[in-house]
Amino acid sequence: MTSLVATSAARRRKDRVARAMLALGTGIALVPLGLILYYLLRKGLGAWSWHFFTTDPTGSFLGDPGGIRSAIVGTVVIVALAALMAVPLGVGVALYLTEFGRDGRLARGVRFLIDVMTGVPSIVFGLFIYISLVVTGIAGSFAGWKGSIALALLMLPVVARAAEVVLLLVPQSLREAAFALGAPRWKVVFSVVVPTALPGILTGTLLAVARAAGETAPLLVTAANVNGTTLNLGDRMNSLPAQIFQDVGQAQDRLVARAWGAALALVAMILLLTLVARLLQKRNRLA
Amino acid sequence: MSAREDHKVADEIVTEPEAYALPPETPAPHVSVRRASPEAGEAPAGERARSVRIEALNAWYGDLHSIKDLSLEFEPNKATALIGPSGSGKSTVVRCINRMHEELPGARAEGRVMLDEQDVYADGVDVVAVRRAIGMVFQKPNPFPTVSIFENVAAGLRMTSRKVDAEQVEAALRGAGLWK
Repeated sequence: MTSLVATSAARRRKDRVARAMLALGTGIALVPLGLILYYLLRKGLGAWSWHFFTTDPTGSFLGDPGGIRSAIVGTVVIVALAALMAVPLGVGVALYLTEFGRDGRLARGVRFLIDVMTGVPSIVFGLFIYISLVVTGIAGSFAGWKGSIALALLMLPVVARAAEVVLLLVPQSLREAAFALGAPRWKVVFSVVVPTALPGILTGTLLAVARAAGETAPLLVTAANVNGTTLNLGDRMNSLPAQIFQDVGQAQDRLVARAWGAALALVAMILLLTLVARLLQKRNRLA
Repeated sequence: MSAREDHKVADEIVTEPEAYALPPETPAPHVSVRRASPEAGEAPAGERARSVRIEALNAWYGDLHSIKDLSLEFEPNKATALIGPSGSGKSTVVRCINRMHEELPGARAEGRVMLDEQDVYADGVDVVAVRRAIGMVFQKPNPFPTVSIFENVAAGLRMTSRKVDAEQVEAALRGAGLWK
């Protein structure tokens, strides 16, 4: 009769080794993450002050280098406009794919293009806008709204894919229930499918926004880099990634310190967005 | 024996087992039809009950020919039951009546389903109007999770752009024994 309790020593040993290897792997993966956070906090927190958040970069070589107000305002405004463009479009594409195109030829083509677009490096979107809108001098040269378009292009496939995945999670039985009541398709989509998927769509959207907020390359060649705070999207606009990029290249410790502070601020902003996304995910009825 | 001849007898097997394409190892399914005239079978005042007549219906799931040449009549003001093992096509028949079958990817149906003298599969027929005219209750309840119970009860009116009357909703809930 075989014992029900004791496992052979060899098996227990194998189990312990396997567990240890997996734990080790996880630990190694966490090391760089921990180091980044450690350095960010150590170097960045020192730069934070009321002054840091409320003044613009002065641009003067000597004396007070100023803070990062214009960069924070710029990032918020540029990313908000980008989201305003990319989110309705992306969700619209996802709705087309799941509710109308389904497995048709056009839908499959669109899906393929979205996958390709997701893999395009961000600088390519920046250069595309640089060549088509900045060099051609449409409404001036560098401008905040041009940066927004570049970021919107970047966000569009991410939003569309995320929304499609969530929309596919809506049970088919809910759509059928509405169809069987005699509801027209648009009504099924807007009063049953979208409300059910909404928390998930918002989560996907916020993650796309968080990703776009950290992009540097497309903004450098479209919205450029200035010192002053502006809310005018037709002007050159500062942004956190652009500010960091400019400051780390400087030979002055005070400017490098500002880059650390700005980096910490950017990470904090993105963390906040991610937390909100997480919170919404928890309320998701489908997950 | 076809459904048309048999329906007066009211309780026997109607469709031949081989009418359903199933994997060979599955026991041949039988679908039988039972009819009764329940006291509560009257149509609501102002709405005349209608008959449904299925004529030469064929339905497919992709390559699977699920319903083969079925003809069957449902009389007004009668409760008719289709009885058969799972997978024998009972729900498919029902889903063909209000054209829900074709909502599934790859599914299609051919033949005639006469609602009184109108063929719901005729050219130019609006599927939305068909589903509005022919009600359907699913095997599993599937309430809309994002709205209140009130809105779930009122969904039939809301989804078809008709006026929602709180008293109607209450009456429906009372009728189902869900109102205290």
